[in-house]
Amino acid sequence: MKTTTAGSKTKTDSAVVKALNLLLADSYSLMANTHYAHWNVEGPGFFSLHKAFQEQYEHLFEAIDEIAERVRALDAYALGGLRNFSNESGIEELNTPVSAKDYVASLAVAHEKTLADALTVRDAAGAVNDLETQDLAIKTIQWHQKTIWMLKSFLK
Amino acid sequence: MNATISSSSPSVATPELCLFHDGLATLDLFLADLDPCDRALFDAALDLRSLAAGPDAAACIAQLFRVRTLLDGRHYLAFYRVRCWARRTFRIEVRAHRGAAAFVRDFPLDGGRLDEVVNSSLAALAADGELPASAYVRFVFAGTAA
Repeated sequence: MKTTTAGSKTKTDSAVVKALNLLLADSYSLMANTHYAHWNVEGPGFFSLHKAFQEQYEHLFEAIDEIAERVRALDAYALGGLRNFSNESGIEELNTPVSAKDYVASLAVAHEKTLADALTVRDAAGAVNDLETQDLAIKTIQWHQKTIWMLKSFLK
Repeated sequence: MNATISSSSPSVATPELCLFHDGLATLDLFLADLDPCDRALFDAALDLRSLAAGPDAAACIAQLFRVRTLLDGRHYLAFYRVRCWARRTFRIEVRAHRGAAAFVRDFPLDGGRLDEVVNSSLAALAADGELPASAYVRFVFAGTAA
């Protein structure tokens, strides 16, 4: 077990790293599903959903990089492999065209799962006074909360 | 055509109580989303909850579709979770005759009528040839699929 930067209590096999890698898996799976929805959504809400999904997967792409680099900054290795991401996250792959509302519902559920795991990161980081990871988790939580609100609003 | 519907007990299935991985808690969350003053819908959802804990998969699926009809698009996200639960909870067994090996299909996420699900399952069996008159469709809980 290696200690990371001086003063940090976070270690490579810590709860923080495990939680970050799960958040990474969630985010990657969610990004893939959002990209799929962006390509395949149809119907009256096409233009707004196509654009919203693009904004969301682009944001996730950047978020994923930040999460993975935070894992590396903690002297651990980031999870990799599409199958690993899918298995770890438990977020079901979208691979069959569905209705526009089902894309939105499916993504809302996946965002909720990701949000729950981001809360775990925040709490695990807080428990070891890892404020940098906690800051990353809080930013992630805020964005998912906002996105869930938007997706749910579409379904009402 | 003698296509029939039957069901079997969920005794082997162990529902998880995780919000994101289905289980009967999904139905409880759905009930919590409804207005008890909407008696017809609320009672139908309660019946669905009762049937989901029982042994009769076909009856549970029929009730699921009744609830979907009553909802008519309302409570979309809550019922979407229920539909996902149903897809993971049920399996469709199709047999050319009662002694034949079962062809197991996933339960559709977008199903709305029992006869449609039965017919599409029989059609899948017939894809490789003529559909026997003795073809047989059975709904089961996932843990009990052949």
